[in-house]
Amino acid sequence: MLIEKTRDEVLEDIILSLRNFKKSFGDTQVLQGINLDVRRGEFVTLLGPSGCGKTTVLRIIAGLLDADEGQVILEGNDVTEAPPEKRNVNTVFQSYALFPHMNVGANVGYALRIRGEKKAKIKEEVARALSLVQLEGYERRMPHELSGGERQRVAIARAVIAKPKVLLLDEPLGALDLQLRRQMQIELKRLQRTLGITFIYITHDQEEALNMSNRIAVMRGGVFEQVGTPAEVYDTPRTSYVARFVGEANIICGKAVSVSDGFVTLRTDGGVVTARDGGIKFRAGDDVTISVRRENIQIIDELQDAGLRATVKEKNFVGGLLRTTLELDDGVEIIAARCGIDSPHVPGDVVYVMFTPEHAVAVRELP
Amino acid sequence: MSNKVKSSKRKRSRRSTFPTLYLAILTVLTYVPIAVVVVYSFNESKISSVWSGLSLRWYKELFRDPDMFRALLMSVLLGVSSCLIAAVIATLAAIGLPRAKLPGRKLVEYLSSLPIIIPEIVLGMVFLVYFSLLNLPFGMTTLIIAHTSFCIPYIYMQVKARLIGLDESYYEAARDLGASSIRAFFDITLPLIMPAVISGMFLSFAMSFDDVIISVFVTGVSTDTLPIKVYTQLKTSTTPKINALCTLMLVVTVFCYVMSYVFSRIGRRNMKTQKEREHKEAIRKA
Ligand SMILES: Nc1ncnc2c1ncn2[C@@H]1O[C@H](COP(=O)(O)OP(=O)(O)O)[C@@H](O)[C@H]1O
Ligand SMILES: [Mg+2]
Repeated sequence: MLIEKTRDEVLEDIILSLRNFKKSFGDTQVLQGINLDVRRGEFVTLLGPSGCGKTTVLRIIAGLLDADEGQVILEGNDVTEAPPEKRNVNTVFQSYALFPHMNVGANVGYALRIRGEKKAKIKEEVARALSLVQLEGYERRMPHELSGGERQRVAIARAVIAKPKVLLLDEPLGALDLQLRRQMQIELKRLQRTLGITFIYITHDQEEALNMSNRIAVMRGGVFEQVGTPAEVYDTPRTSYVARFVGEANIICGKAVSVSDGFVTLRTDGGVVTARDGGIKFRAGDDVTISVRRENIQIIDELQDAGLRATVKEKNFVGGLLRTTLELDDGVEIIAARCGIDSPHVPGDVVYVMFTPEHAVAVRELP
Repeated sequence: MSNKVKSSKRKRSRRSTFPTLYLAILTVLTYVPIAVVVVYSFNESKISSVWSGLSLRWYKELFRDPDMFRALLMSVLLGVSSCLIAAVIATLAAIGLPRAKLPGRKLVEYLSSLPIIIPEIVLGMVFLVYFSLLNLPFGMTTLIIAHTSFCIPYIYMQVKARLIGLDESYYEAARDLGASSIRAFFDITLPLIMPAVISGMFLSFAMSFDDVIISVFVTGVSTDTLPIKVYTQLKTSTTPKINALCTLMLVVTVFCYVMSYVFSRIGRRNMKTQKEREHKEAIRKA
């Protein structure tokens, strides 16, 4: 069935649309209304903690699982009812799922063999796919003879050989060590640019998501809480959950005292501060929650025009940054991070926490 | 402290005496009689109880006996055909039943392995009555039907265990790469469960090869199998030929068990690791 494309879809060249799909396993609703439009060539990441439903979304796109409601539209065709083999979508499985009884060549060439391609052609394409993932000459190895990183590359080669419209990757780097993960992030990104294939990528690692994606869908309990570019998600989180999950922002709560031109000023137990309103319409007296990144927190000794009183609790040197943990008067914990190895403050000092209003943003507090 | 050491020592020694004792009982009850038969099968003497020197005489006589040879042929033919038929039925059942959406699915799955605990004499009687009612002439056909039916559970259980441990994502990956469900079954699932099928086939061949009870109920005039021959010959005369025959049957059966074990070990690395399963369960619980 051909679905009429909306004007936006034509203009933006939408390759895949997820329309309000829902899924329950028994009594538990795992997905509650998933909506997403993916543009051709885009790298979209589903980011969320374990168990939030990421894999389920991917399996529904791949056709390995039926949604209870909603539609999957691929290049204007409704493929909701189509079996997996009839969708031009391939998956890199979380466990790689390399066929253990076939060598690397047979694994990678499997999709072409199914299509009935000639042996010589398959051989040529397999060699090309393997060179794409830097595994030239690996055809005769068996999967159990490969390292984790090599297996992962074979899984990618096998999934891209048939030139799918969309490649689905389920935590492909999850099983690799940190160093290899960093390297593979770069390689995957490069591969995606060379092939021009649309990627839908799953991870629970916010750094990975920020590094690789054109857009990130932050997932929580079966819904997308925010979909946006890495900069949008990082600088203007829509909810306190997104703020915390992406970059572990500080969350401060208070009551609005005044509102002006995109900013809101709030009073907390420890003092008064101002933040961007994040598009939320506040009135004086409303509850306000704001998010401030660790690197935007300044610690000063004397109160200036705005700031919150706090006590220094702890200092750590982590990853090239000095991390200071403070406690506000209302008991909320704040973490400040800055370059350098030491600061003049010691635990027990009473100081003031401040930040420029542009660096703080009001967020919604969802249950 | 010293008390603790002592008690743990005592425990250890008790732990090691028990297996030794058990092994001794097992040896006396089972392996000594077997060894006697095996040794005496190489005895030159015509009288079983007198040892007169090493010889292959009884083996030669055994193979020269056309009756025995025919019985061997019958046993092999029966064993091979019933375990092949049983393999097809049991494999399809093990794969199909969990996917079937029929209400009594659990009951059918349970019934599939039940025949193992039904006494053979009951099964034999049941087959006898049933085949008579159907007017089926007793012979190879009835033997194959009866043996197939008691072979199915052995293969079914092996295959089922393998399928439970098999990561579904291999099959899914094949579908994802464009294979129809049938193609994915033949390319992926079947090769991965094949060792279990073969293991079950060896096991059921061994079962069929030494079965007397069910066979005597359903055999025909000219289709006596080896075990039936052993049984009927023992009643008339006990020539040392029987020792040789028993030794041969022992070798075949042991070989089948060993092969069954070997094949059940093959392909284990394709199974989900314990860790993965725990991980999946943890996620499901959370
Ligand atoms: N086949 C299934 N049967 C029952 N529950 C399932 C099944 N698959 C997933 N779930 C549940 O759905 C939720 C989301 O799972 P999943 O999509 O795998 O999460 P994620 O990939 O984000 O870790 C989990 O709570 C999981 O236990
Ligand atoms: Mg997952």
